Amino acid sequence: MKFNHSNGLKKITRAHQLMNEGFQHTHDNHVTTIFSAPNYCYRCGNLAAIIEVDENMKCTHMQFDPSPRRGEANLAKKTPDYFL
Amino acid sequence: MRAPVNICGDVHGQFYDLMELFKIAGNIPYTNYLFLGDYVDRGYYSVETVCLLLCLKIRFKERLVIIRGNHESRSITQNYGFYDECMRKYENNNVWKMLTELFDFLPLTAVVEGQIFGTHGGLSPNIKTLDDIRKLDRFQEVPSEGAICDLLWSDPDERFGFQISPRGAGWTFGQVKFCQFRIIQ
Repeated sequence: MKFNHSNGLKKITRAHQLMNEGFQHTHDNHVTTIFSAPNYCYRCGNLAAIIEVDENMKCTHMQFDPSPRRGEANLAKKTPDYFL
Repeated sequence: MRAPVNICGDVHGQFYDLMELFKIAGNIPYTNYLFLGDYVDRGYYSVETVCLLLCLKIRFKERLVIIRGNHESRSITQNYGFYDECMRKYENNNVWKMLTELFDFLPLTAVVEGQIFGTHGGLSPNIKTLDDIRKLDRFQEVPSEGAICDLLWSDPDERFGFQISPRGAGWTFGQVKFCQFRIIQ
């Protein structure tokens, strides 16, 4: 990783919180929350997103839906206690 | 790390959705990635998810950075699915033991081109500069308080300054603190 002390930070990106649209800007766009688990816990119905940072440091967001491949149909019936 | 890069948030063991992410946003090593933690727990494929990311890291170490989330922890994974998944798949806890030991070595933060700061949770009242983060001894289980805990557990909030977090770990951080942290850099 290359750290550059001479430039001030422009943005904080962080995760840690479910976002229905997959991302959210706060603090006058200085903080962006990003969440990349679509339909979190296979039940939340949220979109996921990632931040695309291009070579000029321009940030765009790409949202995506759950994978169409669903291998967990049988498991989904027995919801573990920690989901509740 | 360098741009261009795709920055991703929680994955939580949703392996097939991670495949979807790579399909849509580009495969490693042709696309760079920064993952902000929480690879395990909740979803049904935590082992596969974290092992894939680790293998990609080993094979293409310049192409992705994986940092630690609050779920990359012995105590949290015993309550939110990863431990149970390892026991179900391997009938012993060796894989869980080795992977949680490895989690102690994951970095806590990353900076893209010196401009974009990435961490799983947020800021800490004990961290004023990036050098404060470099000084931390991160090779340990996620503590229940202090700077390492805060980086992995804090949340942004509309209230000014640092406030007690309803999560019981970390803090909520408001605009004033964020501005101070920016100016110091």
